[in-house]
Amino acid sequence: MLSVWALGACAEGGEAGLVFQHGQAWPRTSLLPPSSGPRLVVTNSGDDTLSFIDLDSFVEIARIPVGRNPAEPEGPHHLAASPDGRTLFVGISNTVPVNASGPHGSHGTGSANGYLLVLDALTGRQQSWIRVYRSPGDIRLEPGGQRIWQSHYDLVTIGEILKEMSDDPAMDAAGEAAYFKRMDSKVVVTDADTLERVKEFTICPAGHGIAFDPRRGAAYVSCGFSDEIAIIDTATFEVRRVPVDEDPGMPPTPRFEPYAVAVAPSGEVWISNTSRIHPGLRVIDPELGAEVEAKRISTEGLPLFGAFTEDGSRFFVVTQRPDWLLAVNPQTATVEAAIDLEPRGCLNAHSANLSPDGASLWLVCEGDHLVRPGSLERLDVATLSFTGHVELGLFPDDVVVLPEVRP
Amino acid sequence: MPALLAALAMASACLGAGPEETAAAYGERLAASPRLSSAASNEVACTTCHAVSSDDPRILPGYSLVGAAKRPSFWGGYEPELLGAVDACLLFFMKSQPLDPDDPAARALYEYLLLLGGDVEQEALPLTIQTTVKRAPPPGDPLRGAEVHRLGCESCHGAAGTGAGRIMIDAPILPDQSVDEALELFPDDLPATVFTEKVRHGQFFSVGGTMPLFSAETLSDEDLGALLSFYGLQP
Repeated sequence: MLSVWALGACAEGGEAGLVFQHGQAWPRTSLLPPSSGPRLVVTNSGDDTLSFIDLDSFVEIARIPVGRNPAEPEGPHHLAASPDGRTLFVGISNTVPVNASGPHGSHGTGSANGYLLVLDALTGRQQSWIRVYRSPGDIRLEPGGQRIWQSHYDLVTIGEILKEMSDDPAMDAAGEAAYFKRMDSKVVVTDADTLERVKEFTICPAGHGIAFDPRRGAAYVSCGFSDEIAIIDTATFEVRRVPVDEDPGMPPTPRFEPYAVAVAPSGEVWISNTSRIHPGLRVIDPELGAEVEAKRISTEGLPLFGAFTEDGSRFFVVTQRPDWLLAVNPQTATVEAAIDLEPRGCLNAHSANLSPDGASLWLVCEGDHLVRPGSLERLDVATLSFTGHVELGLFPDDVVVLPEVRP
Repeated sequence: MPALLAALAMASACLGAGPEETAAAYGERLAASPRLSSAASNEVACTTCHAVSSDDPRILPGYSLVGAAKRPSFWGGYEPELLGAVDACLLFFMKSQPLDPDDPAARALYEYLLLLGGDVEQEALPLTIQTTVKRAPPPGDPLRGAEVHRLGCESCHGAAGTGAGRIMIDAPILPDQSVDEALELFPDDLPATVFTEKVRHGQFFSVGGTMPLFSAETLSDEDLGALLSFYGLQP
C-alpha cells in the first residue's frame, strides 16, 4: 500500500511529500486477553506489575508492567476499579522493598511524589496520570465511583519535621504545635472522569486505610502516627479526629499504629492497630465520635485489612506474625475462628476481601517482598476451607474485582 | 497534539524533505535529528544513543535500532510497546512530548525502523539496572579506559578534561565537572562512587539531568572500572 502525504512547507518555501509503504504504523495490541468474564487484579508492588486473574478458573491470565518510569522501581501500592470495569486506578508510591538509591525506600519512606495512574482495564494500557504527594497509601473510589480518594502514608515528612524540631532550641509550646500540624498528611480527591482535582486537604499524620459509609456521607481514614481516625464529611470535607484508644501516642511514638479501616453494616468503624506492643482491633462509634471500649480485641499478630459479610454477622481480617485469618463476631467482639495460613503457603497476609456474592474470601499474601513471590488464596466462606491458590509477583499488596464488561 | 504536528511538520521542512521522498528515508533523517523532539533546546537524536548498523563500534546506552520494530518488549520488559519505548526516550532524554502515532513524521520514523529490520521476530533483550550503587567497580586498564571514553562518552561529553567537541554545553566535562555535580547530591561518597552512580543511573533515581543510564548489558563493570582508572578516580 502506497500513500503520499504532503507536509508543511518550511520558511524557505517549497512542498514536501512522503511515500508510505505501510498503512498501519505503531501497532498497538491489547496487553490482556479478551475479556470473557469478571477478573481480579492485584498490584505486585515489588516488581511493578499487575496480575490479572480469571475469577472462575482462578488462574493468572496476564501479568503486565505498570508505572511511569521503566528504569526505576515505583511500587504500585493499592488500586481501585471503576464500577463498569473499564478503568483501573493505581497508586504509584515510590516505596519499594529494596534499598534502592534515589527516592525509594520501604513503606512510607519514598521521598519522591507519587502518582495516580489510570489504565484501560480491557487492554492494560496506561491512559494518563496525575501527580499526588509522597507515599500514596490507600486509593478508593467513593460509592458511586465518581471520585477517587488517596491517602498518603508519608513518614518522610514526619521525619524531616522531627529533625527540624530537634534543631530548634527556641521551640515553645506554640511552635511545637505548629510543627505537629505540618506532619498532617493529605487526602487528595480526584474526579474519576476528568482527573481534575476536586479537593485536597490535610487530615492527620500518616493517613492510610480509607473506608466509606454512604449512609452517613462519611469517609474514614486511619492515622498511623497519631493513633486516631479521621472522620471526613464527604460533602464538605470537614475533618474530625477521634482517638482509637485511650492514651494515644503521637509522632514519633504512636502506641497503636492504626493502619486499616473497615465499616460494618451497623455503621461501626473497625480499626486494625498494627503496633507490636498493642496489636488488635478497635471499634469507633461514629455517632458518638468515640471508641467502644467493650469491643476491644487483642490479637496475637498484627491485623491488617478485613471485610464484613453483607449481613454484618462476621468480620474477616488477616494478621501477620503469625499469618492467620480471623473470623470475628462483630456483635460480641469475639474471635470465633482462627485459620493458620502458613501451611497453605501464605506468607505475610495483607488483606481479606469478600467476593461480591459473599461466597468466597480472597486473601492477598505478600510473600517475603524480595525473593519469594506472594499469592492469592481463595476460601469458601461457609466452610472456611481453601478452594484456590495463585502464585503472583513480588509483594502483592491489594486486590480489586473487575466486573465483566458488557458492550 | 497540534503543537507537535506543527513542530514535526516544521522539522520535516527544515530537514529538507523532498517531493515524493520515501517515508523510510525521511524517517532515517528524523532518527538522526534532534528536531524529532518538540523541545527546541533538545540536542540529542535517536542515533546519539542507538546504533543503526551492526558495525557501529560505539558503546551506547541504548540497544541497536536494528530489529527493534520486531522486539516483543523494551526496557527489560517494562515497556511493552515500541511506541511507548520511543515516547520514553522523547520524554526522558529529549525533553519532548510523545509522538502522535498518526502523524506523518511519526509514521515515517516507524517505516524507517521497519526498514532496519522488520521481517524477523526478535527476542526481548535484557536490561539489568543496579538499583543501589554502593561502591565503584575495581580499577582497570587505563588504556582500555581511554578507549571506553572515546567510544562511550566522547560523543556527548567531548574530550576528557576539556570537553572539546561535546554535544551540548550542559554535558559536563569528564571527569571533574561531572564528579563535582554528583558530589553535590552525594557529598558523603567517594568521587569514583558518585561517578559510578551517574553512569549506572543516568538521570534516574533522583540523580537528575538528561543522561541515559548504562545497564550491565551495555557497559560492563570491567569497562567502567577501566574508565575510572583512565580518569584517575580510585574506588
